[in-house]
Order: sequence, then structure tokens, then C-alpha cells
Amino acid sequence: MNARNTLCTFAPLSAGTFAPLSAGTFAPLSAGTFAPLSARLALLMLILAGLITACAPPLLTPAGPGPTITPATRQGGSLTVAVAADVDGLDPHKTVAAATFQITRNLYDTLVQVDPQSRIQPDLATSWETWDDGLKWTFHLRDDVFFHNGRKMTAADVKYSFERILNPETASPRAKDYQIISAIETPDDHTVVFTLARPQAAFLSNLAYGWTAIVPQEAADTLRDHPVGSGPFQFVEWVPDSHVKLRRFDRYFVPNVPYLDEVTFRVISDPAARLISLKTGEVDVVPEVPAQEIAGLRDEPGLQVIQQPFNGIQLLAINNARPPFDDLRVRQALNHAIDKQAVIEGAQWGIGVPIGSHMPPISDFYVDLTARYPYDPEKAKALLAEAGYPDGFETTIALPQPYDFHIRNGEVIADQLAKVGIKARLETIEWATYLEQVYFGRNYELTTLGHTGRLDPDPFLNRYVSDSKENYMNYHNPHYDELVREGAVSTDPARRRQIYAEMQRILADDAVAVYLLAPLSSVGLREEVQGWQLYPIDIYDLRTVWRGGQ
Amino acid sequence: MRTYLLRRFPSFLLTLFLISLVTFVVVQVVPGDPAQLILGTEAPPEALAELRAQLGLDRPLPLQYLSWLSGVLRGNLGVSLRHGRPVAALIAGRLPVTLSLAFLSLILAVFLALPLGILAAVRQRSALDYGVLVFAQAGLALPSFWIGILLILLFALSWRWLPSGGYVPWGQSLLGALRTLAMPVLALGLPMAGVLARLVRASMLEELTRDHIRTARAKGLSEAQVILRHALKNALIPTVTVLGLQLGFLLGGSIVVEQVFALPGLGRLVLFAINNRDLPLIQGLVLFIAALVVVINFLVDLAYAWLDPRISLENK
Repeated sequence: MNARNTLCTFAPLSAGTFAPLSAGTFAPLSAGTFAPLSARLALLMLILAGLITACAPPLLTPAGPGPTITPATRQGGSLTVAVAADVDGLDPHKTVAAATFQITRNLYDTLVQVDPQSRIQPDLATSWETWDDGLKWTFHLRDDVFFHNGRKMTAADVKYSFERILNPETASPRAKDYQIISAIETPDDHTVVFTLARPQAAFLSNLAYGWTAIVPQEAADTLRDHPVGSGPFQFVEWVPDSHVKLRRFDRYFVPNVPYLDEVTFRVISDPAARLISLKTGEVDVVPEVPAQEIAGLRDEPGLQVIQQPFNGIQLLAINNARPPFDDLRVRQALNHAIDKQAVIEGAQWGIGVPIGSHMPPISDFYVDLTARYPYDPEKAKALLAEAGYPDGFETTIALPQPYDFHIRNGEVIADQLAKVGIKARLETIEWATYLEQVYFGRNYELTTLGHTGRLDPDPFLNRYVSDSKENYMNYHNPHYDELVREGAVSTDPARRRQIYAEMQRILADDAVAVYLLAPLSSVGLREEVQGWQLYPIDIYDLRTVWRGGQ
Repeated sequence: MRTYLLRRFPSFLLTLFLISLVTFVVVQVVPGDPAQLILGTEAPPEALAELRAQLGLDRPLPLQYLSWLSGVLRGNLGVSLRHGRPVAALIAGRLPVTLSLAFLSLILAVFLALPLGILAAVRQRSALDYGVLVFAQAGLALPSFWIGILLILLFALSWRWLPSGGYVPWGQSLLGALRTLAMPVLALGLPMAGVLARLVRASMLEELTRDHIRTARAKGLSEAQVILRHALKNALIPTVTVLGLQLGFLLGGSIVVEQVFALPGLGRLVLFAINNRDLPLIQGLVLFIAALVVVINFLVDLAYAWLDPRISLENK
């Protein structure tokens, strides 16, 4: 099988329908009315319009690796990015902290990578093929990759890295995602063959996450404080709670990349202080701008804001096992009682799109179910009366501190529930306590929360399996469980599409939760910063970024 | 003096022991599992069990406490669960930031409060007096983080005089350190100056009506001598008491101020430790800060004896 064919066949996440539109054609983002596909396109175009007009062809083209021509004017300069939290060490195999993986994309490489359109692209592997009914995967590696310590990367490093993840002593929190690997062979220095215990639909996309970074064995013991990878930047220093500094790695395998000489990630945990430092020019990029600040940033001269649908959702979770919520009619009443558009306006400053099930519109597997429960307080009251609660009831919404956007969702929802007779008390709970009591203890009635998507729909939707530890909504449906099992191992893209569409419909029909909205990612940048890309996974990729003329 | 020290020492140890015990119990009672917080919500039970064993969290609670205590007695504060580094080293790394912040704030507060308080007392009911009272009231009412944000808007955003946050170590650049600490010190020191100024004023007013002041004036001493030598020294006793207490509050206030100004100090470490249920780090920090406060109180006691020779530290 030739490499390019492999690429096309085994890119289940490719946004196949994506075609460039002229930047002028898309409608303004009036939320609520547009179809999901056009929403995605419109928003992508919003970003690409800025990028394409300003820059050369994207660095990571589907055609795979090749020399990238870059004007010399892009080279050089330093950039400071304000991050909200400090890294939890820089060893990619030993943490789940988002703050770490946001940065480590610049230090380490993975076998494959994901592009802004959710397509799987080559990284350390130039091509790959699968055979034996999806049980064997062969990856062909680049021959020009060096670690920051000067040693050349070989297939043995790939084998070592995965063995390290799987070794119980490493206590890698992600190990279970890779336990399906039963053997790793290296027929030569540039080839790695994985044997799986059973087929896994998400296997390829699982290799694109930062926690599968390829690391050199000789540096493994000190990666936490002195990371050594093969990425575009190499480590300079980490001053805890202050900053992480990286500088350009001259032997990075993509010629003339990166453009920047130096990048500093500065920890500024106070959101107001973060934005002020952007306005004063002390930092160049604030990757996560709170919804309430976006309008203000747009008006600020010298700054720009780019946005993209976020790969995740926000919901009002319902404890399906606890009366009165064990009654489908009550859950449906909640769905009719909540005006999602009002939640977006009132709690998220209009930054977000309504959803109808457990899937964001950015996903290729998304099914539009927003019409399933139109906002209809009268119908909600009727359903409540039918269920035996003509005068409503009292309940409590648990709100996770310090996530103010979830807290605000809860406040707006409580107000709306009051209109159909449900008196919802708000209870704010600190995160560690929340995890133990609400999320794992399942000791709650209603709660506002969010879920971040992965590249594959399986890890996103398998939380509703009856015996899942993370089934905090206490949902039980044998048919759903069966679908999850089938979807996880199916290698037929068409069948998988059917399965995940049906699962979304089931969740909506059973009103397992009130699926509120898909937020947008908003990045604030100094005007001169060019080439910042947004990805469906949580990474800050500095390879494509350069400083324009000031 | 030496006997005083010897007498105070057992109570010092007892205080620290009780504080460590209470901290340990509280952290155990409060929900939240450090292993879960490290591994995230998707971690399988086996991985959690493995990590708990590695961290020693699977041992019986009394054993955990005793092994921590025996470590402390041998001068070892343990290893942070989340940072994987010795607690003592983590504290030592953050200490310069917070100590600089606390002491500069204290100095600012004292240097503002003393002259303002004295002048307000001497010129009671003048415009200056009312000004000082308003300043003091504002100091009590305005939270440090809010003052901090206002200072940033003014000095960093509007005037561009100072960096809005971050920290430059003293060893790297003296001026850089001062520039990064200037606003945090103002945010923390100004409210404290207000509180102190009010106190100095009140004590001075009381002192100025005393007999010995009348005597001093009758002796023909200059007004400056009367105020500074005779009134102020006595008026300082309550001020020093409050100052000692305020140092404890300064360490608390630094948690908030360090957050606003992105200073990598002890306060941020405290917050991190609690949010992550990093027990050894919480224990170490609480013990350290408690010891610091106890030592400061001890210094305050010494200051009393100097200010008022009638107060003796020795048993009569």
C-alpha cells in the first residue's frame, strides 16, 4: 500500500468536505440559526481568512513533509505567551496537566500529529499502513530527526518511549489508552511495527497526543526538569510559578522552522492581570481569553482576537438515578425549560453555539439535534404535571469552583427553572471536593460541567457506559453499552458514523443531560503576531508563528 | 534573657506540634484525593492504587503522620506529592520573594504610618487629621487585590512605568527586583499603613493627655522632645503589638497579592498545595509560617522590654 493512499484511507477524522471558500461569502456569526457544517466552515474561514491572506501556504500540508519556503523576514525575534497555570513538570509521560501539554508540543514530537482541521498528518512517521484486520500497524520513520542532545532518533527510541508509557513503574496516567499494544518490533532503524491485542478504531489518533511523545532513553530520568525531545524548540529554563523559556532548535527536521528564536511561557494566573500584560505589550499572546473580555480586546488598538469552535461541550448534568430525575418526563421538562440561547447570551456573552447532544459541532461525527427540545416552558410545566409535580419541586445545582463559566451557566439556569416552578438552590463546591463528592461520589442532583473532546468520538461518548467510572450521570442503557463496544473496535468508517450518530440520538431522546452549548476558543494577540493556529487538542504550537513588521 | 528563652521554648514546640496535628487532621477530613488530582478523572483504579502506594498514601493515617513527624524531627520536611521535590527546597526557593514583599511592605507601612499618625494626633481635628482618618478607613475597607488591579491599570497600563507583574530576583538585577516589587508592596503596604496610622494617632492622643507629658512640658522641653521622646515611645507599645500581628496577616495577604502580580512566592505555593491536596507541602508550609509567626511574636515581646523597662521578661 503506498504511503499517500494510506494517509487518505486512515484519516478517519479528516474534515473531508472542507473546501476553501472565498473569505467574503460567509454570513456573520448569528448564533442559533445556522447549520453545523456552515458554522464550522464559517468559523474556520474566519481564522483562515486572516492566516491565508497574510502568510504563505500552511506549513503542515496534507501532502506531507517537504521543504517549506519561508521568507527570511519571518526569521528571528522572541515571543512571550501568558499561560494561566504552571506546568506540572515537563515529562510528557507522567502527567495529565493541560498546562504541560500546551507547552510540550514545542519540545517533543509524536509519531503523527493533528492539523487544525482535525486531520491526522505525518510527524516523526512519514507514512504508515495497517494490516491483519487492523491488528498490525507499521510506521516508517523520518531519517533526519535529532534529539536536542545531538543524538539521532531511531526506531529504538519509539519502542523505548511506548514501553516507558506502559511500564507500571512510570505510573503514566495515560497508560491504559495504550495497553492494547501487545508487541512493538523494530525491523530496522526506520520502521516500527505495533501489534494490537484487538483492533482499536482510535489507535492512530491516539498517537497524536502529547502524552505519546518520543523521548531519548538517556535523558528519561530527568525529563521532568530538563526535557530533551526532538521538537522545534529546546529547553532553556523552568522557574516554577514564573516561566518556562525555550529557544530555537537549529536541527529541527523541518527546514527554516521554527521562525522564532526564543519563546517564553509566563505564568500569570490572574485573568485580569493576564489581559493587562497583553495590552501593555509585556506578553504577545493570551491563548485563553474569557468570554466577557473579548469585546473589549477587539476594540483595543494594536490587538487582534482569533476564534475557533472549541472541541468540547458544556452541559447541565442530571443525576439520572435520583428521584425525581429518574423520571424521563422530568428530565425532558428540564430540557424544555432551559433556553440555551439565553444561557449563551447571559452566561457566555454570546460566545458559543447551542447543541442538542453530547458532541460539539466541530466534530466530524456531529449530528444536529438542537431541535429535539425547543425552549417551551409551557410544555415543561405540562411534563412536570404529568410526572406528578404540578407545582414543581426544590433541587440543588452543584457548581464547580473556580470555573466561573460553569458557575454562570448554573445561575442563568436556576433563573429559568424558577419560571416552571423548579426552585434550584446553587451550591458552589471547590474543585478537589467536587471531584470526590460530585463527580466520583455521584452525590448531587444537578450540576454544570464541561467535557473536552478527543480526536476520536469513542473516549468522548464512552463515559455513558453503565459500568464506567466516569458515568457520573448514572445512565444505564444496555443498547447504548453495546453500541460503544462496537464503535470502539469497528474499522469501517461508515458504520462508525452510524453508530456515533445513533448514540447521540439516544442521549438526546433519553434526556440524560441538558446539553447546553459548544464554546469557542478565543486567542488574544498583539497585532504583529502572525501564524497562530488553533487545534482540536489543547496545544500551543509555536512552529508556525512569526513576528510581522511592527 | 536566657532563662526567658528557655522558658518559652517548650511552648514554642508545643504550639508547632499542635498546629501540625490540626493541619494533618483538617486535610484528611476535607474531601479530595491527591492521586486523583495528579492522574486526572480518566485514570483507572489500578493506576490510582499504584500512585497512592508510591506516594505512601495507602498507609494507615497515624503511621503517615508519625513518619512525617519523625522526618521533621530529623530536619526533613518530606517531599511534595505534586512537585516531587523536597518541601524545604521548595520553601527556600519561594522565600526570598515573600520575605522581600512582607518586609518592604512593613517598612513602607511604618514609614508612612508613624509621621502621619503623630501629625494627626498633634494637629487633632485639622484637615490633615481628617485626611489621615479617611486614608486609614480606606486602608481597612479596600482589599489588596483590588488596590493591586488599580495600581496595574495606573502604573503599568496608563503610564507604562512599571511591569504589570512577574519577578526579577535581587541577584539578577537590583533595580529589576525593585521595579517588580514596587506595586505589590504598595498594594500590601498601603492598607496596612492606614491601619497603623490610625492606631499611632489614637495611642498618641491618649499619651499626650497623660501627666508625665504635662510635667515634661512644664520642665520647658521643646515640643519635639516632648512628642518624640516622651509620648511616642509609650505610644509605640500597642503599635508594636499590632505590627507583630500584622506580619502574620502580611503573609496571608501575600497569597492574594502574589496571585495578582504573578509573583512566584510562598503564597502561590500555599494555594497550589491546598488546591492539589499536597499534604507534605501543606504541612511544611503551615509549620514554617507558624514558626515564623511565633518567632515574630517573640521579637515583639523583646521589643516591649526595650520600649518600656517596667515590662520584664524575667520572672520576678
